[in-house]
Amino acid sequence: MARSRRGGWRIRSPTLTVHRPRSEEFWPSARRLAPGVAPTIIWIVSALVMSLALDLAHSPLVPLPGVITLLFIPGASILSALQSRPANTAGRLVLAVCLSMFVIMVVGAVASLAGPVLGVSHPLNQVPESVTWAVIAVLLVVIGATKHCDPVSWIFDGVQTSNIYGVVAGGFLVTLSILGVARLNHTGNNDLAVVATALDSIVLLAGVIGGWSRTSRWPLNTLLYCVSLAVLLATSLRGGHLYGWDVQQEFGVASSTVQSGKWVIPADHDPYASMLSLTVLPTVLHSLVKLRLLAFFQLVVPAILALLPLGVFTTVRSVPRWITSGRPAPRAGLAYAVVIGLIVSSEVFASELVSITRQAMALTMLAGLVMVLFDRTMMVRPSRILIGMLLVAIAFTHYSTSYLLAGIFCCAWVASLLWSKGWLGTPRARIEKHRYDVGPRKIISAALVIVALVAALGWNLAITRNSALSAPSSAVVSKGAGLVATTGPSVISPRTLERLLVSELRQADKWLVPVPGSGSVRLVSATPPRAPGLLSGLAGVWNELGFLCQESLWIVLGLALLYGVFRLGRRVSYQYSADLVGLGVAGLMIGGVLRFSGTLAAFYSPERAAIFTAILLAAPVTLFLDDLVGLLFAPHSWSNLRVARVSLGAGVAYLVVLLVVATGLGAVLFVGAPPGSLSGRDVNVEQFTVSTPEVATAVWLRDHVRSPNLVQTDLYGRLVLLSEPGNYGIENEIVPPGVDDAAYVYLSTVNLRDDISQFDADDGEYVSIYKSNLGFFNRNFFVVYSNGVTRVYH
Amino acid sequence: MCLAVIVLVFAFTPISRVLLRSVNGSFAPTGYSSLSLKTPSDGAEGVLVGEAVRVKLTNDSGRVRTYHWSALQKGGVISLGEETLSNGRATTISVPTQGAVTGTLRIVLNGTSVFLTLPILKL
Repeated sequence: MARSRRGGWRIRSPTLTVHRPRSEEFWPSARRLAPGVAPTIIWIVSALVMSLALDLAHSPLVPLPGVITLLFIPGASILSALQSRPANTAGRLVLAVCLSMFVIMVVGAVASLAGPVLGVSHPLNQVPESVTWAVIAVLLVVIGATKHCDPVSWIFDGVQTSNIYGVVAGGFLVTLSILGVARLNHTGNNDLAVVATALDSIVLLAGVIGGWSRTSRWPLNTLLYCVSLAVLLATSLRGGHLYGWDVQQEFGVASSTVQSGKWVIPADHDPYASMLSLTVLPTVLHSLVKLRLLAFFQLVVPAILALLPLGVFTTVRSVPRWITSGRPAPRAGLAYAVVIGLIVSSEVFASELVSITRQAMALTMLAGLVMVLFDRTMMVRPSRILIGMLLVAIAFTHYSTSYLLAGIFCCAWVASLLWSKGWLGTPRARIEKHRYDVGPRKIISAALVIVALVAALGWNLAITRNSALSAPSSAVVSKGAGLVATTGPSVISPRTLERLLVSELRQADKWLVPVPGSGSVRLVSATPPRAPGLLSGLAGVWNELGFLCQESLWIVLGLALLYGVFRLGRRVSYQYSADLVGLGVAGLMIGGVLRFSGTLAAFYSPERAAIFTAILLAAPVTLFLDDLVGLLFAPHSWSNLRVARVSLGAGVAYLVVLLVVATGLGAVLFVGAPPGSLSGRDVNVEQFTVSTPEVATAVWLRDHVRSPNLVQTDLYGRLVLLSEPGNYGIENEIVPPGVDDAAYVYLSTVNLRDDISQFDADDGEYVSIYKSNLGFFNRNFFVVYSNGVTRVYH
Repeated sequence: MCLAVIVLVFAFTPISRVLLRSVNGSFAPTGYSSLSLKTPSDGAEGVLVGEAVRVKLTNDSGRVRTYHWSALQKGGVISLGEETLSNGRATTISVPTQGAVTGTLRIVLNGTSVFLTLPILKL
């Protein structure tokens, strides 16, 4: 109804009016759009131009701008769309990369599943992927414009360019490390590699001292990332192909996906082929920015893994969420020391994780998840959304980490519930206040527990139905937990091996047709080359010291948690948080189970579990040590400065021992048999490196031998066959009585050059090293392939 | 800073070459030459005397190479030949077996440890 000009009232006809925004309102005009997301547009265009220019210049760095863009912009867009980000730029970068990996995996998987339905038979090939990502780029820019939040600015806001010295120093360390491994690969001389590693360790320790003051301006983030990257590249670039065991199989899976141009749920329920991190992620990077698969595993994965210490450092250098007692942030140097002690000096970080790339990526995501959980500047709702995304991303990345995390979230939810109810150490008189303070401030909710469970079980058991859980669960059912502290295979003599082999042949391999007379061949024991330490007289003492220091970390973790729960949380509830308690208790519990279960150790080594636990407990440990340092320097009657300094000196010495053990410098100096990154020709080099001629042999076998033919090789030879899987049966033994008359026998460089073979029995429980019996193969087989350092007999 | 990064990226190849040379380092693949039977089952089934053995010779040594090959039996030369291959190329050579007798034939690349063996059968 409206008043008429004549003063009376008239009734308006009931018309439906639809508000149609002008195009300028709905689609932001270029004038409005450009200033809003100009940095992102400039970034994307610059990356395209750089790639083109590098391609024209025939540079090997052609994929670099594209890889950086793909691993940064999608994640940055998610953070800007949620209007949420960690306080620290380093943390934002870690999170942006983790979320970008998530986006790439989701987009690639959707394309793979929907593409064939839409008539695109190879949706992960270059053309479909280019179209898909061009559309996604436009969408991200439009979303950024409508939200008035530029993704690039959202991440780099407040970055200071004063850290130029840190960048130069870090770049020097990375370059030196690469040159060291290049020299080691080419000449076998390890001097530069040792110098580079020693320098990395010194810089890490200098960071602890330089960052000790609360007002320190040392570029700790830059140094930590660069040193971590340097240490990882020294391992990942070793040899002519990939270094390590698992990574060979991961390469094989990625290679198959690249060749087929799409990802399909594996029919054989292979856990590796079920992981989008090993299939879709490298394939998209390969198709879109011409990144070679070898470069993905040798360079990109270490670059991602080097974010792990950075993520943990970002978490522990601030006061965790909900602690409102007015406590100052821990000293940066102390937080740095905790990260060095727990993560960088972890037994697996430098030498193993680059060879288990699925876990490397998943642990980096876990560090991002914990960072979001504890970052006090991020709001609750976006934090929960980001944690949910990361839980799903981890399920796509690594089955074991996903299962463990689901278990930890369940336990953590229960533990945090108990603590927030005041049933875990809170005095009766304070329970009501404790519940009031703690209850509503938890991040780990029932919804997140459900997401963790659905992601882990849904992806692995319901969708891909992979067999990752079946082997460990059946082992636990048949053997029990096997609660022993010792792990690893037992070395047995060739005589014992012969006896084991005879029984194994009778039971499991009845179908083998042995060569006549092979039973009379006796195995002769052999010793792989093993360089002694420079100060080998101290090897025993060093071994015991290193073992004590590493094992005592568990005590530090336990003490820190007990201190938090029963000291901080008991007295004043807002000095601790339910999430800290929950994750700490669950992490320590699961870490302890994996540490002491011999059965599970065969599937998930205690060292890999230790780094998992360390990520969860790094924050409580930092709070504990920060209070301890504060106590040492407090003006008490019983303390004096000398005691405080001696204690700090002992702490630094403890860190030095951990670092020297983890980097392999201890092996060079005392024990011998250093890791491949510091050794020209030693037991680890033989075990884990692959040469180009060996890859060529594996390719020849893949192309020329078909099922039902059988390829037999030993553990040394098996390594390279994993990266070029063929359509043939495979048997991991070349002990003469176990060699089939009609088999193809692959002898690797170690088998031929050093006359050494390695055999394992009972799923790796027993290992034996013996002479290769070359005479037996020369007498009974013919050479059908040879390149001077390897042979295939038939 | 951006300019320095761009210069480093575009000058990467010459800089990396100089640095690698200065430390006597390299990431170049290990060179090799290989021999393989065109039909791997010949290794088990053998060939009849007088039949040519088809062998694939591959050069991945990183440079052009001239190969001298020989087919030997019981110390005597059954046949020999020469092939020149550029890097990354492969060729198939037919190795004559006239004059061979029942037993094992050994085909070698002279001056290397690259060789094949196969059984020679009676006609």
